[in-house]
Amino acid sequence: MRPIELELGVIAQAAGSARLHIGATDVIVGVKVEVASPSPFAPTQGRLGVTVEFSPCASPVYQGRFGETYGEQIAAAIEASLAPSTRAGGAAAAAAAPANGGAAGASTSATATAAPTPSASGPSWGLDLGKLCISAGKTAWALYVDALVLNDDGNVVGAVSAATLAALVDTRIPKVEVTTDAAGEEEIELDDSPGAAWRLDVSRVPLVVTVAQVGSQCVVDLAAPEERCSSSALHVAVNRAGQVCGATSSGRAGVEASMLLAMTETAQRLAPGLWEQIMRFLQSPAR
Amino acid sequence: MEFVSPEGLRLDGRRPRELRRINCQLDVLSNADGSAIFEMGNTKVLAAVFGPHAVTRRSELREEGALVVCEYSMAAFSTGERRRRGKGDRRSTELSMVIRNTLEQAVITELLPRSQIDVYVQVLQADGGTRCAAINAAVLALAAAGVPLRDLVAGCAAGYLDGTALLDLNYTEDSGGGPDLCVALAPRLDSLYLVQMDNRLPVDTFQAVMELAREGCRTISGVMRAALLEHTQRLAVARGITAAV
Amino acid sequence: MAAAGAVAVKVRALVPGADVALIERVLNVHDAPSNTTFVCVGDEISTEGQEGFLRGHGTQVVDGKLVATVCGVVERVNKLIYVKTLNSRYNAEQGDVVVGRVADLAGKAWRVDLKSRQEAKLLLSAVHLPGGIQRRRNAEDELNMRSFFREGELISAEVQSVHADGSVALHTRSAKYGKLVCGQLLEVPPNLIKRQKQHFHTLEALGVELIIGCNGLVWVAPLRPDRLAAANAAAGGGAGSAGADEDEAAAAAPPPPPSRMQLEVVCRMANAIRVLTRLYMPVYPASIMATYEAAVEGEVALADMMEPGFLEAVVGQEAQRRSSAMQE
Repeated sequence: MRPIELELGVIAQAAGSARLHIGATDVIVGVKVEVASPSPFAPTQGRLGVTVEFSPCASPVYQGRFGETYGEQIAAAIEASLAPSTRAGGAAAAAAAPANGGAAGASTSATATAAPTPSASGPSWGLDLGKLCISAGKTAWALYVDALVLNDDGNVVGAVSAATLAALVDTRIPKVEVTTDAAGEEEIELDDSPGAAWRLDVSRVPLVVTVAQVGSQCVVDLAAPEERCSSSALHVAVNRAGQVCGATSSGRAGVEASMLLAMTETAQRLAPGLWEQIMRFLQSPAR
Repeated sequence: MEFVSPEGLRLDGRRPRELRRINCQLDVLSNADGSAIFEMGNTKVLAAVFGPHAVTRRSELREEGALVVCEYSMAAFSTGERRRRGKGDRRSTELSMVIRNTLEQAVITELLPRSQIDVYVQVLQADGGTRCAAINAAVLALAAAGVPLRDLVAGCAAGYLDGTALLDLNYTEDSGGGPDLCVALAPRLDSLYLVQMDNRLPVDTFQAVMELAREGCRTISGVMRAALLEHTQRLAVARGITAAV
Repeated sequence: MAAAGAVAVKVRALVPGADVALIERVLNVHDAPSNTTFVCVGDEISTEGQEGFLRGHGTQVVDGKLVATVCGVVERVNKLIYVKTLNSRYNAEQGDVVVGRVADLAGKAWRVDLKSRQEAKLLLSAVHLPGGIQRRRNAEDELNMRSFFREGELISAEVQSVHADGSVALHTRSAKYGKLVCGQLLEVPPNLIKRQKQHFHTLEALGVELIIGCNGLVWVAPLRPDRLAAANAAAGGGAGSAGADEDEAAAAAPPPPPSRMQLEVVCRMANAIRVLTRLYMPVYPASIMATYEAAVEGEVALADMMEPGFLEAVVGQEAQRRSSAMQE
C-alpha cells in the first residue's frame, strides 16, 4: 500500500475530524454530534448517519449530482462497518453496489464470513451506540460522520474508512448531565469544559480494505489509472483481530467465486497491521 | 446581545475595523490547474480551477471569450449546526451564480475564446463571510492557474451593529439582525464587481459601511498579493529561472 | 496477527506544504538576491522609459500604464515586454512534438485532447499511411478511420499549424509518430517542459523509449524493435537500402513481451519524472537521467522514490549542481 499521511483536528467546528492522503487521494472526514431523540426501534441507543460526498474540486466530473450514487454506496459500506447493531442478526452484509459513477450492470453481493461472536458488554464489532444514549427513550447523541473527497487517485473507500477511524479517535463528546426539575421535566445540561469530554471506544471498529481483480491477480490500494484496468473489486470490513465484519462487491464484471476467497484472505491479512499502524500513529505524540 | 462593548471590543475581541486573521495556501490539490485555500478566522474555503480547456457542451461554446462555470458547495461538517445539504439547494445555487458573475468580470475572457474555465468552491468551515472567502479563494486559484485577470479582486463584508460599522462579520455577528454588505473590489481599477446587501440601512450609514468594506477589500487584496508573489518566487527558483546566489 | 512477510504500511503526519518547505530550505529561496522581477496580478510593470515597446502575453494597459494580468516573471526581449507564467495550459506552436489522446472522430478528422485550451484536429489527410507512399485518401479510408486510431487511444504527433483563433492542426506524417501502446503516460505541467531539438529519445542501453511532449504529456515505454527501426529510419533518412530492409523485417515481427527488468527500468524512469514534477523542477533528458541515476546509485527501492528522503536527496543534488555551475 502507498504511505498514508494523516492530520487530526482539521475542522475546528467538528467534534472530531481527520484529513488523510494516500497517494494523491485526499479525503476529509468530519464527525459531528447533536442531541436528538433516539429511534423508536432502538430507544437505548444513539443514532448514526454516514455520508460521503465527492467535491467537484476533485474533478469537473463530479459537478452537479454526478458521483452522488457512488458516494451513497460508499457511505452505506462504511455505515455498515460502524454499526452492526442497527441491523437484525448482528453479522450482516451490505447491499451490492454497481460500478463507479453509476454505470449500468448488476453485480453480486457477498455475505460475511467468520462473523465475530457478540460479547456481553456490547456489540460484536463497530461502535457501541448504547454509549451514546443520554436518557433512555427520550434523548441520545446522534453521531454524524461526513466524508468529503477532495481528490481521487484511487482507493477512495479505503481512504474514507481509515480517515473515519482517525476522526472517531479525534472525536470529543461533551459530558451531559440530566436533571429532573420540579415539574418532572428532564433537562439536559452540556458540560462544555475541555476536560469533561469523553472519547469513543474504537477498539472494535473495523477497517474496510478494497481488494481488486486485475487480470488474474488480487491487488490492493489501486491508484486511479490502475482502477480503470480492474474488472471487479471486493470491499471487506475487517477488525483488528482479523475477523471479517462485512463485505461489498463492486465492478462491472462479477467477482469470480475462486477469487472471492483469495480476496477475503488478502484483506484479512492486511487489515490488522494497518489498524495497528494507524492507531500507533494516532496515539504517538508526533501527531 | 451586546455586539460591541463600551470599550469598543467585539465578541471575539476585535476592534470594529479589524479583520480576522487571514491565511492563504496555494497549490493544495494536485489534480487541478490551480487551487487555493483561503482562511479568514474560522471560515475556510477551498477553490479549484480546471482550465482553460475545451468546452464540454459544444452548444455553449462562445466565440467571443471563455465560458466561466462555477459551483459552490458546503461540506456537511462546515456549519456549526450540521446540516445535510443536498447539492442544488437554493442558497448554493444562488451563490454559484453570484460568484460566477463576479469572476466572469475579473477574468479577461476575450483572450481565451472557445474555451471553458471551471471554478469549484468548497466551503470546509463556515463562520460568516463565506461568499467573500469563496471569491477570494477562487481569485487565488485562478491566478495560480495562470488565467489572465484584470485585477487582483478581493471580497469583504461589513455590517452595522450597536451603532458601529463593523468589518468582517463572523457568524454570530451576521445573525445579529443588522445589515450585511458584501462587496468585491478590483483595487487598481477601483471597480466594484459585486455589491450585495441584506437588510435595510440608512443612506449615511451605508456610506460608512461601504467605505469600510472597500478598505477591507484593499487590505485583503494586499495579503493575497503577498502570498501569490511568494509562491511565484518559490516556483521560479525551483524551476531554475532565477539564479539563486 | 499480521502475516509474516507483510510489509507494514507507513502512516505518518500530514504536513501541508512539505514539498514546498523542502524546496525553500534547500534551494535558499529567501536568501536568493536576484535581479528577476516578480509580478502579481495588477502590479505595474515599469517601461523604463522604453519608447515604442511591444506589449506581450500577460500584460494589459490601464490608464496608460503597463499592468500584469498574471503572476510570473517579467521578461524583456529587445522591445518586447511580457510576463512569463509559471503555471498555465499548453500553448501550441508549429513544429511542437505532442502526445495526446483521441477524444472522438468527426468527419474526416480525429479530435485529439492535448490538455490544452482547445482540442486539436488531426485530419485524415495528415496521417502517415502504411507503406510510406503518398496517395489520395478515398472514401474507404474515411470509413476505416477507426482502424487507424480509435477513441481513447494515445498518439504522438507534430503540430502542423496554429490558426488565429487558437485552433491547432496536427500531423503524423512520419513513421516515428503514431499510436502509443504498452507504456506509462505521465502528466507534467507544460511549463516544466523546455522546447528542444529532440523530443523522441531512444535509450538503447536501458531499453527504454522516452517521448517528451511539449504539451506536458510524457511517454515512457520499453523499447520495441519496430520503434527502434522507426527511429533509425527517421534519423537515417533512407541512407543504405540494406539497413532499411533489416529494419523493415524487424518492424514486421510482433514485439516480444517486455522483461521484468525492462518494466522496472520504465517504472524507475516514470518515477524519476514524477519526482521532478513534484519538486517543480524542469523535465528534460538530462534532469530525468540525473534523477534516475541518483536512485540507482542510492539503491532506492522503486516505491521509495516518492518518499521525503529521496526527494530531499534530489533537491540537494540540484542545489549542488547549481552552485558548481555558478562557480564556473
